[in-house]
Amino acid sequence: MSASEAKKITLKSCDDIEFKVDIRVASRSILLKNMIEDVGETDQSIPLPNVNERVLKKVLEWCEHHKDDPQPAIEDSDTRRRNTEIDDWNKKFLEVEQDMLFEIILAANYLDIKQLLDIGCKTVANMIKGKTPEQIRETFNIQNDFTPEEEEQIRKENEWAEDR
Amino acid sequence: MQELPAEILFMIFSHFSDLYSDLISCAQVNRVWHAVVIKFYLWHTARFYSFSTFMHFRDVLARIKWNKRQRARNNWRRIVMQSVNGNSKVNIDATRANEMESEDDDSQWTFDGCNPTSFHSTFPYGACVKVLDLSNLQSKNKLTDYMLDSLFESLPNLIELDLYNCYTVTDKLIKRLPSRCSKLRVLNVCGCSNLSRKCIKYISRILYLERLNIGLCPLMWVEKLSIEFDYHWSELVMFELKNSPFAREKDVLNIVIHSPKLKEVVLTMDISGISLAREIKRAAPQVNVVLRR
Repeated sequence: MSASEAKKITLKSCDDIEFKVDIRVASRSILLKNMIEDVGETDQSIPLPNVNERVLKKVLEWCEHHKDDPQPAIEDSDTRRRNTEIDDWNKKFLEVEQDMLFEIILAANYLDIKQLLDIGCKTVANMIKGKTPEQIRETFNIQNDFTPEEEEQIRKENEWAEDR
Repeated sequence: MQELPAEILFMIFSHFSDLYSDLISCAQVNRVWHAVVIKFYLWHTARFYSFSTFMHFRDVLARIKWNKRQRARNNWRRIVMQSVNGNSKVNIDATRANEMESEDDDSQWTFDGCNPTSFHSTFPYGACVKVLDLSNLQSKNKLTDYMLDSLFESLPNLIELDLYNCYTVTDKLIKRLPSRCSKLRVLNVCGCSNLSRKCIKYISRILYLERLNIGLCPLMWVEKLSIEFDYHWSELVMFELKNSPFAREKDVLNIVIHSPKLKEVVLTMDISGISLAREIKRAAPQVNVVLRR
């Protein structure tokens, strides 16, 4: 094992739990990668005020599994999203409670881990696909702030978009 | 789910790229979802193939404009009635006023192509439209200046407008374009063969125009009046002029010279194109001239 691989940094979740992780693993997060590059090696722990222990553990598990993936090239974000495929490992990884899924997405967004964010969003998109507005609300426990007339009206105002 | 911020919703909806029925369902979920879906997906790019769909789109916007006017008018009337008659009589007078309303000038609001629908929204959908693409529209012969001008009035934030081969469009429409769509950056009027020389003057008034295509507009090069092409194009980066055998060197060079940011000119690979290209290269060596078939 070369010296560079052994280098570790310490991350601290918002509930004060510390994680020692390989720099290579942490570098999946662009936020941390930039931070490490700017600050250099440090023994101090990096506080992550937006992420709790449960979520950080899960996110780091993902980073560990994907540490050897090539960094995604900067490309048109639209095509990247459209081409996002969820492989079996990721599918299993994201088979979690809904709250957890959302927290992973939020953490991936905060830590700037594009691939994790994409597969998270895609998973949510798949949960929405083919559902009626009422079914979507039920699935995600969203409150309806439209009156039935307004809801109907929105459908009418947007119908044209369907047959273009 | 309610705690997911709009930026994440935006990313989630991006996976529905062309699934309009799913996007419409999402727009009906709640107000936040509605705002994100409408602004970034459903209304952002309006690209049409079938003419009836285009008219439906136009009808929705015309209806919203009408509703807004009506609402303002009703509010105004209520205030006047209250101050004139006191509160007790308001209801009666309001009904009487409604009857009078029907004789009012509203009868001129006809909706060509579609039946009027009966909803009462005033949501500013038109302000969300950034791209209007009529290049693949069928039955372009049915387009009129009035139809488009009243539509443009509802699209103040339009950035890209493609009128490729909309040959029924005339100078009148282009004249009003700079005030209707002042944020326009990309304009394609290639094949709008009725446009005359005056249009260059009008188009030059679009302040932020970056890309312009005026190919296949033969009348634009007919010299009449004393219109010179010496307008200032402060933001123009790309200028396309294919299939314009009548384009006069002097005119084209005038545009090139008055565009400080110009990077690229696209011409047709033919005799006139090649000689034009040579002249442009001489006058403005920094401009990249592309010859296409």
